[in-house]
Amino acid sequence: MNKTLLCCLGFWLVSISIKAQSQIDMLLDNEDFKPVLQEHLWTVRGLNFPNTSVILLQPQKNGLTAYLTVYTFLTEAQKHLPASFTTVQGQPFLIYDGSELKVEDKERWFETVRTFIGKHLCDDVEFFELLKKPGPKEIRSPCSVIYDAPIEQLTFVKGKLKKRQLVGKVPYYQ
Amino acid sequence: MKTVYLFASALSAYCFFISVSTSLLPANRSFEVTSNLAFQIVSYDCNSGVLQYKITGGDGSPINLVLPGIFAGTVSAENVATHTFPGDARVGRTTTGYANQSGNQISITFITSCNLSLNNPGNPPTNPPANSPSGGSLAFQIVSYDCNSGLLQYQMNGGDGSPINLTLPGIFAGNVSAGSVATHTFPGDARTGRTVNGTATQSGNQISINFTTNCNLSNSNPNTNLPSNPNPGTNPLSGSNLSFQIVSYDCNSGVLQYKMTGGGSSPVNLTLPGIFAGTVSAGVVASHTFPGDARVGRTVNGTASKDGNQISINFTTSCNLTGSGSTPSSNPNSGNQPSTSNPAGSNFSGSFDEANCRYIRGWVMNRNTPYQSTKVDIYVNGWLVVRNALANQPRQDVANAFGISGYNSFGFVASIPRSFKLGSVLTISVKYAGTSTDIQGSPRLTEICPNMYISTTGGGDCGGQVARVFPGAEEAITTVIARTGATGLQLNAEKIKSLTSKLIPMYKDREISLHTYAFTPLSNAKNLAPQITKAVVGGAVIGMALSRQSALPDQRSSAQTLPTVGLGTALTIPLVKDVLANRLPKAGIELAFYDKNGKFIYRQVATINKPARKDWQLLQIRGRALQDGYIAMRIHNRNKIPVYFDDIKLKITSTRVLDKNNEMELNSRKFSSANGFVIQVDTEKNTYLTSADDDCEESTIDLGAIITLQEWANLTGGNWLDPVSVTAPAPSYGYSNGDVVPLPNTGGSGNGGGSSGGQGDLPRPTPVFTNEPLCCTLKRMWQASLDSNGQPKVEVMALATNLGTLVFPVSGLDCAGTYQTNSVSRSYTDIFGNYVIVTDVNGNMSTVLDLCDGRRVEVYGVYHTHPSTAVGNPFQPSPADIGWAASHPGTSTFILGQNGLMRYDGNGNTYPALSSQDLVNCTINCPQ
Repeated sequence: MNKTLLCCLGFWLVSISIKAQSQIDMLLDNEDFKPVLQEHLWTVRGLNFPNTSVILLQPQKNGLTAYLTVYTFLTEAQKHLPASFTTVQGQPFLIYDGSELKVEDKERWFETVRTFIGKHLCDDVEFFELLKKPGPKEIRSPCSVIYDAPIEQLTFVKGKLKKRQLVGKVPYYQ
Repeated sequence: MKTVYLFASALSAYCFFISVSTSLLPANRSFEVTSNLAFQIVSYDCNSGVLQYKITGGDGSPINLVLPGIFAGTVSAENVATHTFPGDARVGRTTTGYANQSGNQISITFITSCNLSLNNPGNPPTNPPANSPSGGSLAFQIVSYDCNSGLLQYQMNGGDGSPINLTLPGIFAGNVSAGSVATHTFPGDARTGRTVNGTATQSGNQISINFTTNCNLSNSNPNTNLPSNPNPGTNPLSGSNLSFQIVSYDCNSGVLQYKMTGGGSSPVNLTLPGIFAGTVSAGVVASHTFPGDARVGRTVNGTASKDGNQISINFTTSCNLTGSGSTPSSNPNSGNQPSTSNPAGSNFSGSFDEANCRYIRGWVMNRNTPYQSTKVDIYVNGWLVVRNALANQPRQDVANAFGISGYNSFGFVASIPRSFKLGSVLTISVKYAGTSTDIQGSPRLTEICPNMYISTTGGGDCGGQVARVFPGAEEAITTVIARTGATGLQLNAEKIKSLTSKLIPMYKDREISLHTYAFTPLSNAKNLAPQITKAVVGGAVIGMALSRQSALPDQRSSAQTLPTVGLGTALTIPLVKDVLANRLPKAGIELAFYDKNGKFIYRQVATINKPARKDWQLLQIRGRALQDGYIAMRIHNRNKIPVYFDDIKLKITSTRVLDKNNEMELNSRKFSSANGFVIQVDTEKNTYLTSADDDCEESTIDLGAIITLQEWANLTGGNWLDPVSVTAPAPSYGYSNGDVVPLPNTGGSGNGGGSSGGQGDLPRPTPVFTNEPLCCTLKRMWQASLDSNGQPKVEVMALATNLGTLVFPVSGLDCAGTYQTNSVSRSYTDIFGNYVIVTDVNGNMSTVLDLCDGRRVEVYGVYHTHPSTAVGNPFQPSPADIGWAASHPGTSTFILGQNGLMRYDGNGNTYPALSSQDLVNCTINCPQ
């Protein structure tokens, strides 16, 4: 029984990942997106602290809106569990396309994500776990940089990049 | 020549707050609800000056605490804060402030003294009791004096318990409390024989204090004079004809000449704080030069005394101080004191207190609605620059004067737009909003405001605006040809090839109309203009004519009837066509759109064509902004043949939803861009009608919103600006951006420079703690966050600790020797050490910083600047900001942005702490 459930869960995760992966693959093949991606990679490689790229995909009537930003804290990934993850030219990417809402075993999925990107982010999750433990203690803060990552909104219409602008927040799927 | 007009409506604030609802952690502290709000002094050490205080009670919501010179911002109940008073304020310094929570406000008043820690002056309400127990007659007492060391100890005794204003020239001037022992050390040459003549005033009663240092001074009571003048502050003279006279004052140079008159030949003891303290002889003219920022609006309150009689001296520097004649003390500074008089026919009261090149300030109120703030209109040189500015800054003195309790938001402070600083005195008027009634003291003149843009004021029929909008335009101004008025702009490749405007803020859905008239005669040779009049093709004649043009050209039309000289054969047709083509300069107008982060989006061009050779041709670009951002306009001529431009007009109309169909009809050609700017080009003269009446209408220019063009880049491409040089409008906070003011406390490296030097050259910064007022530190941080052009440069961070304020360098080596450097969107937080979260046995958590040298400091507050709008809204804490706040419990975290100071917490909640106006207010007295 348990094996069946796990199998079903695994199927869900695989199907979710496939959907997200296919969308990111389409985006990576888009001619208009390539220079944006290179610019983004150039920026994140210049950051001399752990970081992971984030991309949220929103299908529209005639195209797609993508939001591109960067995480520096692991709690950000914990707070917003991605649908999938991948690596683009060595840079880890977390992918959101709405299917992340279907993840039921969030803890298990987070551990999977953590395994993938844990080393690429400041691990404040462990810090908070230690902080919650009872009793007097002293714990060193793990994160030393505050990076106000820009959030780029990219609007593609019929395969063409029609709009590129900075926005205030990522519209995560609720 | 008519010029450029901006009809931009008021600037919308870039102020958006988001809250992140998901909580990562349980709140690190809880609030007790419903108890009374109270200010409590936890401890005070008059030797070190260290004060610990906290707010208790309240309803758990953030508390807005204002302790002038100590703190201004939001705090949480029960959080102990620390402030260290400087040496001269450790005894006798009066602090009057308030705390406000959810509309409930308590006053806070205390005076530093050595027993302050034993008393608890802050338990609510902290106002001094109205009827303090009387302590008997006011008296000055010398506690001890050592003529060898020069150490004097003294105190005030008696009185009614209220603060005592003590003036001992050369020793002390300020408020003290009875019973508080103060000290002063006389220098070697003054330890004997130095006479001190001072006064002490309490509740209108005054005593004279006179003593002469000598080795027997200790244990004596030198206060031998009886109270002399029970109310000297209101009587300019008592008992003699002693008077203070201003001989002359030049507000440009700041040179003041003054003298004492009357009172006989004996010396007069004169105290003019900041100017002079000592004895003078009557009739002798003395001079003082006020520094640049004090030449207008600086109030001087002093005294002159002689033989126990004293007069008050009060004046405020202004450009008409010279003409005020003698004895300005009669009431020259009435504009600075809250007056209860009203303008005729209204219930308004107000005062325009100060105007200088950086800011203006004053107050206004409507006595019919004393618990509401009132609005004013501000004019600079007759131009309405701010409409309906809300005067809502705290002015407790006004509230006191009108007997209003619980509300004091009557003040206004506004910075002067840089665009008005053209090397001349500014006339600034403040009127009650929507009226033509100046408030009391208005108008005021500033000192000469240094030219911020150009070397000479530009010409133009409307106040030289063309020079303000197009830096460098004065070089192109010509009186040879103009469409209207007497001057136009002449551009040619050999002289001025193009003019590019400053950036002008633009908001979504605003309509933009840029038009100008252009004319290019065929030759710029004096009195000789070759005119091509006809080109008859199909016959054998091409007509080319030379005609003599009148010395005063027809400014309305260049079309003339000309004799022709035939030139023959059809074979010359291609040549003539070429000549015709080359004779038409490549000239026109351009409009570029930038998004709100300064990123180039789109450009549109309208160029001249043949009609411009005959008459003034209308060039026009119209469009509508699809997003917030900026526009810049440019007029250009890439050829040697001169092109004249006149009646340049940029019209920005506020929100009006365009009818799509109508929009199409209006324009013969349409270019659109999906990148955020719909724009139409129309060079047909008859499709746009302009009214002569609106050429010189008042313009509204947003305070601080205009940015000058810094440099050109890629002239032939779309983007004229260096992308990194344009990001956002820079607030002024009452000072000029770009002033080179080093950050305090940055230790060894990086005083705001974003050093790119090699790591090996960098010393490890040494932490230096200071106790200057926090707002002054914030001011310096903000200055260091911007480059010399006022553009975002680097984030700057500071900590409020138990040892004082610690400002971080923007780069340097951390404890491990790793080089770290901030950027415009990045702050390193651990250059000085490592943060440790301490949990005590009760589960209370706090954050400490273990410095590289082994010391441990407690961290109460974390401040860092957001100079960039790269995250969309500079006031919005980024996920990393929120994460950092969550992981450093026990600290209050703040963002200093262009809109002021905002506190945020680890859940992403934001709490406005200080507006930019608050910061302007509290940084007025910061050292430059």
